[in-house]
Amino acid sequence: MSHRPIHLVVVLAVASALGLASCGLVGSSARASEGRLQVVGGQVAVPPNPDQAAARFLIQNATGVDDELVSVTSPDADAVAIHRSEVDAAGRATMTEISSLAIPARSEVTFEPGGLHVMLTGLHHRLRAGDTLSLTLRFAEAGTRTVRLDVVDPAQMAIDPGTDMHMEGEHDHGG
Amino acid sequence: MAADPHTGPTAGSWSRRRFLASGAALAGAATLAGCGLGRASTPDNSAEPEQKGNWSGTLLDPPFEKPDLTFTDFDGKPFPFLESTEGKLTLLFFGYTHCPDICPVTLNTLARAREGIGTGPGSRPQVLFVGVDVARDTPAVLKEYLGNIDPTFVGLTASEHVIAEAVRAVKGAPVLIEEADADGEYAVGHPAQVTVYSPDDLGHRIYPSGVRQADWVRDLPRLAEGEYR
Repeated sequence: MSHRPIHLVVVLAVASALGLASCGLVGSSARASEGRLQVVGGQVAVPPNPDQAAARFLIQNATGVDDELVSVTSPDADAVAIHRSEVDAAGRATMTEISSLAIPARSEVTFEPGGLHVMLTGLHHRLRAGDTLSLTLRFAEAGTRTVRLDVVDPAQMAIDPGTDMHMEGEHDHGG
Repeated sequence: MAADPHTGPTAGSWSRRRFLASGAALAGAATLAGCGLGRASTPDNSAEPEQKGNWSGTLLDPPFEKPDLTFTDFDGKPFPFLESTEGKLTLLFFGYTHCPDICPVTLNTLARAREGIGTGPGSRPQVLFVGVDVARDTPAVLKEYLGNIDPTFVGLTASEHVIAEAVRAVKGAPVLIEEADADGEYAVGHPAQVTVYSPDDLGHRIYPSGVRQADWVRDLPRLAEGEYR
C-alpha cells in the first residue's frame, strides 16, 4: 500500500518529537538542518546559589560560513556573560570571560560543565525545575537566535560529566 | 613529589580539544541515556570487571597528613579538622558559592555518587566544602548553597590565612581573589581537586575536576573500606 511509507514517516516524526520534548534536546543530527546555524539542547541546572546560573547548549553551524558569537542577553537576569572554566597548570580552577567566540563553518561548539557556559547573574526569579529561561544569542553572520532553555534538576542535565560522552583515548595528555 | 593532579587519566578531560567530539556525542548520549533516566545514577554495571589498580584520580605517595586547623562550620560551630574527621572517609574541596560551574558540578556529581552507591560503605562520606571567598561565603550562605545540593555536605569557613594553610596541606594551587570590577564582581581561582582522606586519617588520593559519577561510585566504597591502591 502506498500509505505505509507515509505512516512510517509520521511515526518517526512523532518519535523524534517526543524525544525532543522529553530530553529538551534536538535528537536529529545536523543533517536535518543543513545550511543553518542553530542553538539546540539548551539547559540550565537549578543552581545552588539562587542569584546566578550557568546555561549550556550546543551551537551547530551547518553553514559554510565561519561565524562568531558576539553577545548573549537574557530578560531573566541582570548580567549575562560567556565564560570558560579552565584549570591551569597549577591545578587552579578559574573562569575567563570571553568577549566573542568563533563558531567555525560546519562545526559544533558545546557549552558544557567544566568548559564553556553562559553565566547569568542577578536572576530575576528563583529557578525551579520545569521553568524556562530565555536567551538571545547574536552571531556576526547568522543574526540572532532566541532560545528557551529548560531549567532542570542537576541530575537531569544531558550535558554533564555523569553522562559518559568522553571519547576514550581522546584525553589531553599534553599538559 | 608523586602527587600531580594533572597526570591522571581524567586530567584535562574538559580541555578545548574535546569540544567537537563531545558535541558529536551529545545527541547520542542524550538518546542512550534514555533522556536522563539511564544517566549514571546507579552503579555502572556495564563496566569491565573490577581490577586492582582500576582507580580514578591520583595516588599520593607519600600520603598527605591532615592539617591541624580549626574551621568554623556552617552552623557557626568550631570544626577542629583532626578531631572532626577522625576515622572518617572525608572529601575536602575548596570552592566558592558564586562559582556557577566547577563547584556545583563537582558537588552535584558527588551527591549523585552517594545516591548511586545507595547504602553501605562509601555511601556516607563526609564531604567538606571550604568557601574560599570569605567575604561572601558566610556560614549562612554556605548552608543554603549546600542545602540545595546535598544536606549531608558540610560547609566550612575560616580566615584567609587558615584557608591558605589548608590549601598548602593538600599541595593545592593557592587561592586567587582578583580585584573587584565596577560592578563589584570579581574572579576567584581555587584548587580544582578533591582530596580524599581515608579512615586511616591520611590523604591517599586526590581527584581532579571532571571525575565522573560512575568513577566515584566505583572508588568511594573501596576508599571507605580502607583501600586506596
